[in-house]
Amino acid sequence: MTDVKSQAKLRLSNVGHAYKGVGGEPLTVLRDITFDVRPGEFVTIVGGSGSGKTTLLRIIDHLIAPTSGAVLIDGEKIERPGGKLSFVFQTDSLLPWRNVIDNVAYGLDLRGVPKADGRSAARKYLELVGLGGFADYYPHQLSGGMRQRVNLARALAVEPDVLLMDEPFAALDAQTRELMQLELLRIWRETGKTILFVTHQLDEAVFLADRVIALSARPGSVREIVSIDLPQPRDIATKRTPEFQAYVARLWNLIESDVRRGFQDESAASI
Amino acid sequence: MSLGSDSMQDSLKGRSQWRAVLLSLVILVVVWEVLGRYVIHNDLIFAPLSHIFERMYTMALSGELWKHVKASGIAFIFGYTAAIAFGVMTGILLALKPRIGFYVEPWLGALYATPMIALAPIFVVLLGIGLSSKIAIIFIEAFFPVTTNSALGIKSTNRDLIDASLSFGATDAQVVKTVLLPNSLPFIVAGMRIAVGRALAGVVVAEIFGSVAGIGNMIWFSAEAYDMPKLFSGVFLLAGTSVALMSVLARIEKRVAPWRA
Repeated sequence: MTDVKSQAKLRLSNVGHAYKGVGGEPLTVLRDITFDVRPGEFVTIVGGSGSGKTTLLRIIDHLIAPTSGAVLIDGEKIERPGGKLSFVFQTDSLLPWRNVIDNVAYGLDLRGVPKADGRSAARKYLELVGLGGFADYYPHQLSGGMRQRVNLARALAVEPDVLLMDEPFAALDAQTRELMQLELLRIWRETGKTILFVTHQLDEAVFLADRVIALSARPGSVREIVSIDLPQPRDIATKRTPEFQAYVARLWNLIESDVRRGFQDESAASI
Repeated sequence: MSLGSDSMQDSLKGRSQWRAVLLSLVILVVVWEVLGRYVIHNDLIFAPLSHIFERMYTMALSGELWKHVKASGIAFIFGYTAAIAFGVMTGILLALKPRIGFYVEPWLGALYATPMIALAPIFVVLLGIGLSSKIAIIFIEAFFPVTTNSALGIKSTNRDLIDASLSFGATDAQVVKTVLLPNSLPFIVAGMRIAVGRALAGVVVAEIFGSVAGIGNMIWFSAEAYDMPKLFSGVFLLAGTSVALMSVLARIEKRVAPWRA
């Protein structure tokens, strides 16, 4: 037991979450989520709508407190946001009144790092994401893909052990998304971070991950954890291999019934 | 990167807009002068522009104009500045403390909608004729747009920005300082812009009800004497002040929030 604990970077044990629903009835959105993430591992989470993927990620960062269970990092319970984790949001959550370099340094500013030190650290990560020449630009002057790179640089600048990413490429066009996936894999290799990445795109989940966690819906719970044994480093050609396609098909089978149910619910609701 | 072409288009738009403003101003001047000289021959209801500016000039030389500008200006500066200071503080407080805001905001809305002119005589009765009643009336006119806009600036903050800040471990005070206040800044400046017009209206109202000097006082007395050049001198001064202050504030608004343009 103890050696497993020391191996896990991140451990979720019996995490559950319930909202107070309509009429006071508790509405369970997540139940009994248990899994470990090893140091330096890339884990993606997929699930149909209603599987609580985003809620789960927010619970791990303690933006939301779980109603049951615990989240441990290096064996210690996470009790407030910040610290060893950093979060990359789906929408670009850059501060519009700060230029790119000041946005990247934002987390460091909040932690009281002297301004000059923060800027030089920020510059390093801005170069890592390939935007070294855009330090003085403002977010509204950048494309969606560039803004998400800045977002990533901002999350990396506080030097977290674990990156939590909530569908960060969902709003990008297909080509930009593919390039960003390759970029992310490169940055992951170069920095050795542990990454937990939520997505609704199964090919993205397979392409990036060492392991994919498939969630079931209503309430969300772990349906299956699939190890992706595709060689690293991966590139666009990886996606054309039959092995890759087989993984995507398998994940689709795992969550198909939930996706269809969600689709029917939405259709019914729109009538 | 369409940065260059965007700013070029902006400056083109700006230039042609200036040309349009200038042209319409020239037309107005010509039409006014022609009307005053050759169409409306009654001095009791109209005056050509040349007479108005001539009168302004002589009043400026005699020191009479300065007396009125000073009387109104002092009241305006005190009333307007106090309205901004208290309005910003009240608005931010109400937005940050929804429990208080819940009780107070409906009343603020009602008072904002109430024509404050109706309350002006009350202030004159309470505070007497003079500077303090003038300041109070100007204050009450300018206070509400600043308050409601400041509160709106805090409340309209994108939830994702707050979450991003919290995810880095920001304290509540840090969220206020680094997210909520910068977000509300352009709203506050917009509120200040709206307040200019209302405060200047307050100057006139206050001086009609109770004053011994001031632009409003000057307008009111020249109306009673059918002294049109003098009346329009006062109106022009107010209009000019309003346009100047508002365009400065509009510039500042763009400056502090280039992403909203």
